[in-house]
Amino acid sequence: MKLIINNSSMQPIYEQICTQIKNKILSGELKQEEMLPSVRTFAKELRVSALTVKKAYDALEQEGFIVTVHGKGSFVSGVNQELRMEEKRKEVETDLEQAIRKARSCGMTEAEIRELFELILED
Amino acid sequence: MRGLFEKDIRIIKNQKKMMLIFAGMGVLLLLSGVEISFILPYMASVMTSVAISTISYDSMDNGNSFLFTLPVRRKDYATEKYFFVCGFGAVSALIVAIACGILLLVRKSEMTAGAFGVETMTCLLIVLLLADLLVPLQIKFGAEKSKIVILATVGILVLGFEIMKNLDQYMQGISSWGRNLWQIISSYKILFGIAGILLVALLTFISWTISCRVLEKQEM
Amino acid sequence: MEEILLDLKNVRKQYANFSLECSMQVKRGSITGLIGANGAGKTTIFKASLGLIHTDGGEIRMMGKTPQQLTNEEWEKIGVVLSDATFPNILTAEDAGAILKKMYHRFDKADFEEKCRTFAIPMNKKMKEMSTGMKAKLKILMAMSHQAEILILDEPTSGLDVMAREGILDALRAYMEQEERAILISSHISGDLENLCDDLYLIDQGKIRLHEDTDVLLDQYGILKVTESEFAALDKQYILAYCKEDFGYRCLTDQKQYYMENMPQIVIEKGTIDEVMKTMLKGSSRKGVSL
Repeated sequence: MKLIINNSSMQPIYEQICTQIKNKILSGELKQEEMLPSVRTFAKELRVSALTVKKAYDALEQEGFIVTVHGKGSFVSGVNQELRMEEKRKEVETDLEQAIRKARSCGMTEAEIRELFELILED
Repeated sequence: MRGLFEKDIRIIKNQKKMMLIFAGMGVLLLLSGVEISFILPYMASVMTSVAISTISYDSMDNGNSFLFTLPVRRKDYATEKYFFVCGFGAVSALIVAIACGILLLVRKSEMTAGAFGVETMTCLLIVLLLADLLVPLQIKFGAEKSKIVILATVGILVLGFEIMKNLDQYMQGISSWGRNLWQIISSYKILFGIAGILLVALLTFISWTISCRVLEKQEM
Repeated sequence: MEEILLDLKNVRKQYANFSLECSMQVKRGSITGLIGANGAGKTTIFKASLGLIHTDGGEIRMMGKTPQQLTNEEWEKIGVVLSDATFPNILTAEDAGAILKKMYHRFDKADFEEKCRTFAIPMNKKMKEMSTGMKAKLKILMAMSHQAEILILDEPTSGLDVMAREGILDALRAYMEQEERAILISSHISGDLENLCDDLYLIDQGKIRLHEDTDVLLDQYGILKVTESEFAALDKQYILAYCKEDFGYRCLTDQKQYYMENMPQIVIEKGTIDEVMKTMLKGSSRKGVSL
């Protein structure tokens, strides 16, 4: 698997790995149930610490993108990724609704809410 | 220990130039008609020193630090050295002895086979005693300081051999007390021979123990 | 199988003008790095762990036993590179191969010779005639050719040029693909260890100043470069150490996200090992001497 890691970036390396693998899964480059390289092999290819790769794999597993079978390896999860993304979008929608409700309840105006939203988005 | 033997053999193998010089020296001595009783102990002690020099090669450039990160116990190292030095000294002594023996036959000299055998055996024993003395010294004090000791010991060895050979004459010449002592020893030659061998064995054991202890204490 | 392959607890060693006191662990499956300047104590730790020197206190356990208790067979599971020592230098690589074959049951001579060819090491040249780089490569190959479970490498890459270092580090990564192995490696070139090690110990003047997972160090540690006034106003709860500079202050934090979010205007640099060490060792620490 070919990933490009930016060692000088402020973005944590495990995050970079996560994002790139997620994109490959969503674009179909990584097929469902396809086996990912072992932690050590991947660490060797990317020239990063094995713990970093493990952290990325753990995060991906938590988000449901991959499944780790003890003793065998890590595999792209069988669940259709498009559906997953759709689920995630729904969750984000719910969270945003909740945040806006909260903002309104403590008296923030719509303009203030928009300003805050822009600020956070810029981070 | 097999690895250590391999290492020591290769250390000596890689000093081809020096070995050729010694061999050449030996041949020259043989042909020049020098007494057998000089050649034998001389060549034996030279070869023994060569074997012992492997200790200084081991310790050069902190080599001992590396050596003891391999599966080598301090005891193994000490034991191998004694076997190697004696083995090497013995083999060289035997080769020289055989060469001398052939030369004696060729020259039709008067020495009996028995006397020749005794000379060879004595030489081997002296090689062992030499090892007993030099191995712990080399281990403790390293190459530089031991060189002088080695030179001195070669001299002592040749001298000692001379004395051993002519022991009865010397003993008789010293005093009446000596003469009496020598008579007793002569009558029980075999017994004293065995006692002598046991003594050497004990000395070797003591020397080995000292070597082990020095190695255990050393900081590599 | 033991989880902790090397365990040093409060190990102390006193020399005339230097004293060592430290605790550290190397876990199975891990590459642990030891970084420090020359003379900081790295070699002392290595020698103590291997039983080459006596200690003045503390406990050392290698695969569960003290170095002196290990049998020759157990010792075969250890592979070592020392920075300044190897076989007598009148021996050749070929000699080394023959000797190692007789010392280690699992030494693979064919593999060793193959690797020597790959790294361009002539088999019949005496070691004293080899360049520093060639000798360094040979020492590492010797340690890696007998299926050791733990590699103990003291400055294995010093004296090597960039390409050779890359080759060695890649070989080490490949070596670790067998899950049950571990490596303890020291260097004063932090760049080598940043991309290799799973966790790092920083040592200075005989004491461990920091122990951290590499990815935490690279991801969460940061260097803030602030002016005098910015420093005065700075929320210092996540500052580990700081030191005075011409421009003001250089501060070390292990929560750079906090400062990136709350003070986007100040200059924050990624926490590389070199920068972390510089700030820690030069400056005064806020939370006491040891971290």
